[in-house]
Amino acid sequence: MLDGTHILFYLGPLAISTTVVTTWGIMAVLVLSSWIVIRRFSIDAGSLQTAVEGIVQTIYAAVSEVLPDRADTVFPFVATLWIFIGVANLSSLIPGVHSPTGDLSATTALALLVFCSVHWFGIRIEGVRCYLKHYLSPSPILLPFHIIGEITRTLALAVRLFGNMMSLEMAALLVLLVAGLFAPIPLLMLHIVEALVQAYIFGMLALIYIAGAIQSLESRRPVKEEEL
Amino acid sequence: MELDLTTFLMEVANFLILVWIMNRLLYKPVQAIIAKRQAAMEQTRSEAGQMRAEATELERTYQGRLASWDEEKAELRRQLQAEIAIERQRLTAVLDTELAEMRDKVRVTEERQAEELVRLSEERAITNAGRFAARLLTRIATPDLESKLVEMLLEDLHGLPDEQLRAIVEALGREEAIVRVVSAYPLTETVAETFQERFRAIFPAAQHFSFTVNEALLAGIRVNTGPWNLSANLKDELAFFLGGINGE
Repeated sequence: MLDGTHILFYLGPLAISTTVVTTWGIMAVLVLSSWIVIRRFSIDAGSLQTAVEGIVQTIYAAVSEVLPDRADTVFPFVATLWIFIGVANLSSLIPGVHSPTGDLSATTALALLVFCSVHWFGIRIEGVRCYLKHYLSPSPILLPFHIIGEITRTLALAVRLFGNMMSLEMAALLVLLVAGLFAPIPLLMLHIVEALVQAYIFGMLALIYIAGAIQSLESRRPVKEEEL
Repeated sequence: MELDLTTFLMEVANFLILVWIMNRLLYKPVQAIIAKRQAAMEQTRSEAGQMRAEATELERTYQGRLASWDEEKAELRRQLQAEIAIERQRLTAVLDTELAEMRDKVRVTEERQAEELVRLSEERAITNAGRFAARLLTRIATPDLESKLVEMLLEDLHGLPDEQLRAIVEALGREEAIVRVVSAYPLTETVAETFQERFRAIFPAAQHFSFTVNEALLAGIRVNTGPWNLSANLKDELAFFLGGINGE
């Protein structure tokens, strides 16, 4: 395949590709490292605990800044997006490992999850009817454009992440083929930066889409007398 | 670059599972420990605030006590100063009294010393005067002077009060009463007889006379009639002079 993925084994009728196995590996690493770190948590934080708390708090602060009232609801989804995509993007630094985000199936799955989460959080907060109403505002004429916008931005999410990561891996492969071992370190640095930037972009876009849906609903909600 | 449905579905499932696990395993514990730490910090801050409030209250109480102590101290100082003033006045009065008494004592002592000095001076002057008079009378003592003194004695006997005269007569009336006449110079017989006659003229009871000489009398005579001594000599006069001045 062009993206370097292939079928490793079959689990019954399911064909398990390298992307899925790598995803499992990343999940295992994240779960195990979280479990190990959490076991040693205490009030008096050490350096590792401080780093973990710093990462979690930074993500929470970013979510709170965009969605001050719904941060606790959205935070687990967005934080997992950032951490998973960041680790998945960096996993290609390991020789012989292909990043799951270099597979269009994985990025499409993530983009579809973002698409669904936007509607999920919107419906969860205002209900189905009220949520669907916002597609008809300010005018029902704009409904097709809303639908096209939803589809295109989801597609853009999936393709952007896939394209960037696949091209990054291909560029690294080409440079390694041309220059051999003379220029690996700057390339690796570029890879790290690009991986983190792409994770940030994907997670931030997902957060903005969710926030846009929630805030557009809240902006249309009539002001109650108690709130006055 | 193709979309694999199995991989797509597996990725969806994997991610949802990862969200659930990470939420349970990492996010909630981290947020719980952070919340716990913040609660501990809040508690510590609250305790610190409470301690500060207590410290402020204690400081206020302490300042109040200090103020009351200062007032009490000032009141006690005023009382003490008043007592000191009263005690000073009392002690000053006592001291003035003692000083007045001491001044009186000193004045009395000085007066006594002055009187004693005057007395000593007088005694010394009298002694000197007596010594001078004795020396002078010793030099001017002659038988003629003695005759004049005898004459003076006889004249004085006439002037004695009646009571004294009766007492002398009574003394001379006893048996063997001798009139002892002591003179500084030996009396001539004529003078002695003249004396006896004139003495008997005054005291007829005088029968027996004895005449002796005592140069210590300087000049003059001394007549002894029992308990009575009739003197007209310089020694007795000097002694009388000295004794009279000394108050004897």
